Amino acid sequence: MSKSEKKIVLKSLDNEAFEVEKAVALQSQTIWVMCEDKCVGNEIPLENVTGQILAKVIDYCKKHAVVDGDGDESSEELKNWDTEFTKNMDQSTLFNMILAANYLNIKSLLNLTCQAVADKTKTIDEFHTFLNIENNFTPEEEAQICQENLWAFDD
Amino acid sequence: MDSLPIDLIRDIFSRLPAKSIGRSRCVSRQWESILCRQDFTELFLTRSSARPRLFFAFKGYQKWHFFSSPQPHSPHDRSSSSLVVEADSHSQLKLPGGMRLDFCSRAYGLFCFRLVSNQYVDTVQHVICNPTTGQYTILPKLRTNRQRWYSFLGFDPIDKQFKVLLCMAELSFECDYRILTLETGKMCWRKIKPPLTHHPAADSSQGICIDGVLYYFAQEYKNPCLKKFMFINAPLSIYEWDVIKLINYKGKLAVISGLRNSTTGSDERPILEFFVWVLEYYEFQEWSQYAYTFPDHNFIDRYNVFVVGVTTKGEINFSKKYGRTPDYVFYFNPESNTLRSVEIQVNHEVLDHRSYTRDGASTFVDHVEDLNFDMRAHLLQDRLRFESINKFDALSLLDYD
Repeated sequence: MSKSEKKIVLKSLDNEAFEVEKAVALQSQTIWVMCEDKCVGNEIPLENVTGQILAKVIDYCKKHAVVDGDGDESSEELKNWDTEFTKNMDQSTLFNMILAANYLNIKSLLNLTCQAVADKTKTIDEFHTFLNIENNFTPEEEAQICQENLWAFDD
Repeated sequence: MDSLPIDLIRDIFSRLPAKSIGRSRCVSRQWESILCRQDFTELFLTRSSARPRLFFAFKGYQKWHFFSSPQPHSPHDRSSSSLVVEADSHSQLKLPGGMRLDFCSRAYGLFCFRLVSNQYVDTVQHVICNPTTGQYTILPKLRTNRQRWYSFLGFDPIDKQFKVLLCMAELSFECDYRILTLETGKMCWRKIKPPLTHHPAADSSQGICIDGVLYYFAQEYKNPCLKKFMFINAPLSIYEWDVIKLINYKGKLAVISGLRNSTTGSDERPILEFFVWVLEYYEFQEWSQYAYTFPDHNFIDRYNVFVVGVTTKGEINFSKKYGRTPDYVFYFNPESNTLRSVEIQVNHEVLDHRSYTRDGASTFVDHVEDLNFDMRAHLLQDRLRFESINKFDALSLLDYD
């Protein structure tokens, strides 16, 4: 394999181009399938991901890529890195990361970001507001369903 | 922001505490239906099993109050580190009419209690409770003239059923055995006759269920043929130690001793030691013995610390015995020989009540929050397919017919 074939260019929704090692990009099952099918050249357009989010996804993939002979990173260290990685992201960035991980089909990143949202959910009411869940129960229905789930309201 | 697809939101919900699920069921028709469905409750159980919790049960005069806290992960450094965690209130169990309840046994997320009476009674009655939701079901009454009862709750991962084994005994070795399967509809106690005459020893909370097999300490009467009941020779006499306990050590049955002063310790500061016997091959009844020295710690002396259990990661969990609440729990890592202490804060006005006695708190490791067991309907939904193989099928007491 020549040197150029080991690199791949990922292009974001807002036309930002990122050149990355193939091993890094192939953690995405979506990109892996695209490359297998040879339906793309060396440049892969990712229509659902902005440059800002893609940069973060690439950071994650670089850290988690298994590059030749580079297996020193202990799982404990990786775990710490993951924690730091999501620590300062706000809910909306995390949601975009979840969407990107889902679209790119990177299981471990999807797992990490979903868990981060759950961990950062301080009160469930806040979460409902954030998800924009609309209450469409009638008052009677609501009274009954709350009665059935009374245990959840008892602090 | 684009809205997330429903299955991704569902995934996030499955990682939230059980109470958040209960509350979220009350916000919209769509989410009520999604969060009540069995595929969700099973996903929730899988996630909950991956993040087991420390569980505390407080006994009051006519009720029990349940709390749980996250089970702290292994610290990244090897030094003995200190942590503070706060325990959340789950629910309380209080029967109408102020009936008193004794704790008998637990398996996965469910707890089994027995009604207590001060007077002579010719019936025995049990209550199964899911402390995650506080829902409970009262099992059918059983008429008996025997006055000693040993009740064990077990979970059979093959048929995904909870079963209660009850031994009713006198001082002699004569025992009656009954078994009940928790199921939809009318439940009944079946009489069984184990081929081995035995008498359960000590208190029944010593029973442990591993991979569908129930183990408990017993005294043997004679040695008849072996069927689905089987004796495993204990590695030691249970009377040799003040405290010993059956534990699940990384999927194997093990016996653990309480702390005792080492015979080789210096006079100034006694060294505390304890032993673990792991049943390596049950066919050969081969136990390996491990001796551990308890790391030096200010909080510890042999009289105020007792074994709670072993976490799935193999850390042995101890708790302080005295005090109204379990102030501290300790995680001992046998591989690195390190000890971590975790301060548990249980703040709830109910515990200020004088009926919560000093020694009324019990601690359990690896508690799993389970939304599947719906007591209102007395309905047992299909359980999660546990991946473990029923290795001890031949021994399976719970399958006895």
